[in-house]
Amino acid sequence: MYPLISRSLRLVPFIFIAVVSMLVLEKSFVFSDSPLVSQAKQNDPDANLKYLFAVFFLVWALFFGYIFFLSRRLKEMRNEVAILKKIISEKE
Amino acid sequence: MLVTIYMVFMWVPTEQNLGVSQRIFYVHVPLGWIGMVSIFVVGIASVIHLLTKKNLWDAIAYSAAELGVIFATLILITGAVWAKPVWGVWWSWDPKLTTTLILWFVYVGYLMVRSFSPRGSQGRRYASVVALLGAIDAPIIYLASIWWRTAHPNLNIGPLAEADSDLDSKMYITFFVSLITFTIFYVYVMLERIQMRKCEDDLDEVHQYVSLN
Repeated sequence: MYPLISRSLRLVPFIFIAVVSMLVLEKSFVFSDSPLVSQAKQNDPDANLKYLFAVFFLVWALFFGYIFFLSRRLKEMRNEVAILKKIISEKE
Repeated sequence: MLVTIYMVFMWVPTEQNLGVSQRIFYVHVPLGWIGMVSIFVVGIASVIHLLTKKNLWDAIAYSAAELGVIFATLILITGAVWAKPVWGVWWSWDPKLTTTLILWFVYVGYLMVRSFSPRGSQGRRYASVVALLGAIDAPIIYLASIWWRTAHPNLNIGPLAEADSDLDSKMYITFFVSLITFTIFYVYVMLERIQMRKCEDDLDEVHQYVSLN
């Protein structure tokens, strides 16, 4: 497979997580509360807690995703080293 | 990181006007700081690579660009999530947001040039030029809220911050703890990635040697 396509495919889970999170948050605005309930929520300091959790969730998801990508790359490199060792020993 | 999370969720007082959503500030701003530092690292390492032709500097530039794209993506995502409850929209073509989006494209452009260009010194030189052009964007992002009238909050932190900043002392402490934590995390991952990049370069050389002999 072309390298750019295979790299782009790795991003699919992260994009999926981001889109789902956005849709979940957006949904709450589509099915909005009555004006009185909205006003009460606006006065409540904890009303936007879901946004704070969404931020932490997305930040950590991307960090773990990147660490996972690095560990996969490290595994690939170890395999390459093993193959190269085999090729060199066969030549010798 | 756990201390930072505890401070953000439990310790720091809630801002009166913005409510809980203001706590996104303790994540969003450190990410922004690292995103801008990273493009400077890419730019400086690229200049040194162009002058000295040493592969170590190219490994530093590449690693910083890869981490930069992660942090730039997070700046945009956390900014959008913060903008929704405060401005009522996920995105606006505000100068600060637009210049940050340009920074993201610069990082992606740098990595794409590296992917598409042939292996060896030529591709590295092309990418270094992209990095140098991209480094110009970092001060523009920082100064955007001074140069243009924007919806984005004014500078609270840094040399050009307003003197009458309304941040509480606990907010300052939480912010600086978060800033230091994210910076240490960035430096650690960066050092690991540089080592890995050097190994990748060495492996390429061995591959070439094996295929030639």
